[in-house]
Amino acid sequence: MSAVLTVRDLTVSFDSGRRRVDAVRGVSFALEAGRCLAIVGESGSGKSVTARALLGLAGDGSTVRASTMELDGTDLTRLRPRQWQRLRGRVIGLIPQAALVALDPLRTVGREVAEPLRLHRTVPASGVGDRVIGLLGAAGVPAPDVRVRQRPGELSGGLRQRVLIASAIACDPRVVIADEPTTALDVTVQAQILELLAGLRRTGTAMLLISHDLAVVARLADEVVVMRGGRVVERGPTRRVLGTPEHEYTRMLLDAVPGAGRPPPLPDAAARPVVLRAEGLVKTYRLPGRDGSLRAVDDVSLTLRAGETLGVVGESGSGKSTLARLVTAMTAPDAGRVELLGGRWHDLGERERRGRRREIQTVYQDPLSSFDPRHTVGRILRHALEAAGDRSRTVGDLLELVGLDPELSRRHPSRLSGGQQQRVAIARAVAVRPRVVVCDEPVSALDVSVAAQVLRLLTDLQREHGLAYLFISHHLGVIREMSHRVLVMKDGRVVESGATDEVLDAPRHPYTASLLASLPALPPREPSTGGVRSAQPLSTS
Amino acid sequence: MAVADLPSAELAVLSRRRPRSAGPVLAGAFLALLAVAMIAPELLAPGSPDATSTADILRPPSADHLFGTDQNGRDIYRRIVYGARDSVFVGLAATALALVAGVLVGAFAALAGRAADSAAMRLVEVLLAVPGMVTALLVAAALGPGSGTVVLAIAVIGVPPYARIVRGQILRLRGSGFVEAAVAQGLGPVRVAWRHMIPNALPPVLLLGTIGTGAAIGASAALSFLGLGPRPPDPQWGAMLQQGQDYFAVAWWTATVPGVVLTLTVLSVTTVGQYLQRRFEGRVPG
Repeated sequence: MSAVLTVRDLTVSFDSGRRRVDAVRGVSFALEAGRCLAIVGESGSGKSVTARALLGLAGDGSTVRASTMELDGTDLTRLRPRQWQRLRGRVIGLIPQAALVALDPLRTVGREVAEPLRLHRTVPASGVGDRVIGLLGAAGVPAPDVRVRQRPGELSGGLRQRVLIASAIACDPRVVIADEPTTALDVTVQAQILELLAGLRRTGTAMLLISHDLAVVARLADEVVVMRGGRVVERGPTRRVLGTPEHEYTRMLLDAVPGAGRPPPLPDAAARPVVLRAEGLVKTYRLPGRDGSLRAVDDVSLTLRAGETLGVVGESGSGKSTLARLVTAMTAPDAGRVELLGGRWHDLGERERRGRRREIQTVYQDPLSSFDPRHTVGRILRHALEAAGDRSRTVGDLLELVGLDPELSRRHPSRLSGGQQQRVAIARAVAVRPRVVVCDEPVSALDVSVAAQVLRLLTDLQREHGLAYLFISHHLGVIREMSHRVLVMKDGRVVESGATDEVLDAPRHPYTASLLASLPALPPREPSTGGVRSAQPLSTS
Repeated sequence: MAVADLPSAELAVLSRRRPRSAGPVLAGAFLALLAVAMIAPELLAPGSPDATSTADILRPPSADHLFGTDQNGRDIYRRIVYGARDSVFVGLAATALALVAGVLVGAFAALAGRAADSAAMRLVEVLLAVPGMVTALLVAAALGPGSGTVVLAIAVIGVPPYARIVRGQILRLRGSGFVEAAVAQGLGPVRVAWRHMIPNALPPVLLLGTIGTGAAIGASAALSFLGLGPRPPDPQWGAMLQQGQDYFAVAWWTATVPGVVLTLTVLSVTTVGQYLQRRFEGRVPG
């Protein structure tokens, strides 16, 4: 069978004025109809740039070169902008990343999907309306004749992703590029979208999947190309590459997928002092514009002991983050109580509480937004040490504590990588010598290998300082690796709780079971190439 | 690497990617010239700005009179140079005053509780409801003519926009991650405001300030024309512009020159302001 897309020696470089960066260096692959090829890599690997180059959208200041770049008989290397426009959407479609921002908030879903149809005139104008409804139905949007008039703001993340898929396949393109199609979606939604994409392949569309998520790749791709620093380090059939990886980088990626490790055991857990206790917490938010209200947290109780990690797992909207704000006293509960280190906490006056706030700290999912954009790393950490009245340690000590070069203190956090930013956030949290740290999705925005390092750092700090973690994550693998005990939350309630392994290995509540069943799995590894993987590895979505 | 070392193709890329615009430099040079005119006008234009010469009434620009002469035979170039102090300084001082007051009022409204917020914002709305020039006239009439009066009058009508922007910014910042992180470390409200909120609320206000300076210079010209500014014959660009209008048909330079200088000043202040803002912004976009 001949390939619909052939790329040979693709090189993409960017000129940023002073220096030239080669983002993609000599990448080759071929894609046949009805097949799926995955390009896997971490940030900076060049996987997204490769995809953009195939759409003629590599960006300002870029130079794209290739000895062959052919799509369905068209030579892509010498296309003019106008010719690119005729290809995009008709012969090659894009399912973009970040469904939450990729749709125009002011346009109805119908107009969004109709756009490629009108642009390329693949169906007569009179047939566009019916075709749009048909496409939305095919993309699994329920009640498409109603949804077609809605705007993105009225749709959930999963539905928006379906709309984007409907738009991408509107003109029956030969090739669809799916750029991290399930990132930021809940696992149960992710499972549905992956099912939809798998069905799309069966209709003969060729798919180029761009992903950092090996489990998603395992679910969809026939072949895998592993990229690092702009180069292909390994390629082959999915089963072979993920089962018996040859390159050490591929092995490292597979080993970094969280879920295999376990937290260090906690001796005489029952004898440890309770540092955080919550009983019957309720928090209700009034919904804007409507009469209704939302019970974000509904009768949640928990205890956390010194040195222990309590995982809180749930999908978006389950109330995890509201729970974090309640125990850190950033918001007041409508009912229930919180005790910190055995003393009053939620009902203290703010003036009194201020003196004790240091005892409970938070590490956020997006560290950058938790830093004052005008401050350098050094200034941020100096303020933390001042807040604690700590003269015994310096900014350099803190940076070393979290494995960063003290030289970084002069930089602005925006100039650091995501992993470095999260380390600075952790340094700031531990600078005030807290007893409890609330980790709110601390590694969700990080590459797997970086996430693994950050998790290790958190574990080390816990051992050295006897910290107690309330560890919030949507990711079951991360929860398994970090938590001694776990709470499973759904719609503001705790549906199941207990020792982590018991809950995740033998779930009693159907919701926990459905979470576990939704996870795409990696194929088993050959024991000779990696360690024995006792756990089911999980995706980082 | 010297520019000459680069092959021409790369050079084209360089110049396209990083436009090295001359705008801020030219604007800065113009403002420097203005500064000299304000501090030591005699260095730029020897002689009295008020010296009249009946033989030289409404002369067009020439080697003797660079910008021509006005209806009293006074050298317009000299009057522009000497007028800089009243015209520009008044605008700058009024803007600075309005800005500081606006930041304080806005921060107070956003942080001092609901009652304080309503009180401060209603006051601001009253100021906004009355046309600015009327308020300025009232203030100026109450205080009597003079440069100080003009500064104060223009500052008063300048406060509302700054106050509202700062209030909005601070309300927005109050929910931001870094403010929460500071609260979580036990910082009190005053220090959080001083350290994190006000500095981060400033950039849009400063940008507005550079634009406001131009408007303030214009407003000071208007007040001067109405006789509330410095007394004639002290030179003032606004007054010159207004007077020049009467002779515009026979002597275009009388109104054009002060108009162009006024425009250039406003433009330069804005350009330099934007440049400085980009230069000192904490977070680099992108």
